[in-house]
Amino acid sequence: MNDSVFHRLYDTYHQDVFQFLIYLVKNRQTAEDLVQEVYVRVLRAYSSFEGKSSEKTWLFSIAKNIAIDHFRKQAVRKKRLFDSFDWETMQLASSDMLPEDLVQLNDEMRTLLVALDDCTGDQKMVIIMRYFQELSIAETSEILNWSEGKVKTTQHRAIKALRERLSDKQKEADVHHE
Amino acid sequence: MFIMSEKKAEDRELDELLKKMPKFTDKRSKEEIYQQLKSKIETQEKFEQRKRIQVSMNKWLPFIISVASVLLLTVLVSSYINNNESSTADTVEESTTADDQMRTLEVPEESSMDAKEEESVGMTTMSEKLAPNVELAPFDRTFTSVYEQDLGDGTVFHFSLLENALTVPITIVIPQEKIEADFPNMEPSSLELYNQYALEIDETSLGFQEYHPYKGYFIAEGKILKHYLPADHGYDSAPGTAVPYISSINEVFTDFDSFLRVNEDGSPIEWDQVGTIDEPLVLTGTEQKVNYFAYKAFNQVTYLTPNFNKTFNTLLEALQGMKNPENEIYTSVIPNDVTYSVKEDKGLVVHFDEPLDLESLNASEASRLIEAFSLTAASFNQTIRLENIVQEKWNEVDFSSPLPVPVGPNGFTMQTIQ
Repeated sequence: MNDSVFHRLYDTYHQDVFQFLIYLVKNRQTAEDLVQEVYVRVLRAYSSFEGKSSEKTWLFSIAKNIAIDHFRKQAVRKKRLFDSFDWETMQLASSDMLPEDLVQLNDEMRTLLVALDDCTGDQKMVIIMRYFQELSIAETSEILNWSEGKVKTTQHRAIKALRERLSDKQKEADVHHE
Repeated sequence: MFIMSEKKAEDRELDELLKKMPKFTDKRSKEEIYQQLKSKIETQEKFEQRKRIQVSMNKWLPFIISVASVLLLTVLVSSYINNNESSTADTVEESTTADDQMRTLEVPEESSMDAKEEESVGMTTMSEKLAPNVELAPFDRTFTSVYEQDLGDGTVFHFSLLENALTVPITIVIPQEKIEADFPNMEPSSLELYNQYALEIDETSLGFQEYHPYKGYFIAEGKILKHYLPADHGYDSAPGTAVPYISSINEVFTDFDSFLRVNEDGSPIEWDQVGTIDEPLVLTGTEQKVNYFAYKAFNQVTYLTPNFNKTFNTLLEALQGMKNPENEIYTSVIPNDVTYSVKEDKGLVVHFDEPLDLESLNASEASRLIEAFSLTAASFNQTIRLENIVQEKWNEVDFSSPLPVPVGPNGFTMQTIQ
């Protein structure tokens, strides 16, 4: 194991990658396991990293693939067909957060995360990357291997979908109050 | 116009909300992550190395056996010809006809057929041993332990999985037909079961590191199990390796009374931090006097297991200790808000202070709670009753009687890969 590479990657990106994963899977234990898997793959492949992309986007693209694998395995476990799992069009819905993490979120934020789970996988991914991770359009397009145009369109659609879902949830809450 | 500005306001609010979402951080230390990662990479490398050896052996085996067949054939032919020559000389008759020569050549051909047949049988057996041809299937039900009625005519194989410094016992039920095929006309001991199947168990897929088979070899001397260890065994390199090594031996070889580690030549072994070992260690068999907790393996499957094999003098103490694992590795099967006392009433009874509604837990949590109690009692060779549960019966467990006694925790059925 290349210790110096691990230490450098940890110091530079660890918390960012962890946050990306925990927002995707919404479970601390799973995020811990997945970030571990990211290191395993990165360290094994590090010697073949050609530097065509930045180290940061390379690391995030591996993290994204590992997270998608996780959702795919979950879908297979729920007896959905392996081949039919298309992360971009399907939902990447995850389990409930741990109470200790939930306390960091107010009601509005919790509703937002629920609405995000209702979006398609590509929309959820773009929102997390662009807003929570503050990645640029260029970085996001590199990680997802999309054109910048596709990132912008998906982001636009994601915001629209989120706005509609939040507004629906607001209406539901209003009806409850009445 | 009004709708447009309303949408813009909503977008702005959403934008602000998205930007102020909290930062979640990994609370583990860098060192902890590094150690876990190191162990994971080493385990994977070991596993891959083992697979590579298996593949290359499978690739070369037919060639090696063919060469061995030719050599064997050569030896057989030359020894046959030599014998024939000397017997011909004894009969004084020197009329060696062409027919006789033909006959002498025909016989070795038959032998060569036999030899080839034998070797091909040998090849199948060796290939079967090298390439895993079994897999372990978990029980398809809420209760995960093995009970007497699960066995049928099958055989129980106690096995031990390892991860870092801890062991988790599992119980494998091997169907009768497999035992009959692998051990004709005999009842295998735990050592014979281990030697036959340990290599074939894919520990990684069960959520643990590839640990088995042990280095060196074992010899049974009555009820004493001797482990002949090579110089570079490494089982004593740290407490973190020595403790799980001994725990796993204790969990696997349940029909031996004691166990002695020796050098490969049989001489007493020098154990780091301990010194020369010349006395066997007592093995507890299935009466381990432990209590059970939940442990989540790296494949996210939860197992029921003793807490670092901590033992107790009495079942009462073990039951009382089940609320608090005293570490972060294991989790108590008893929910935080549930309390209980243990009393004596024709055997020990766990009495929940408030009526316990099992339906308020999910099915796995409820079954783990019941089974952790029954496994704890079974490890003292005793039975217990649970009292003050809302349901009189739950999944065929009748709480008016003592809990059913498990044969072992974490049940799997061994299946042959076709």
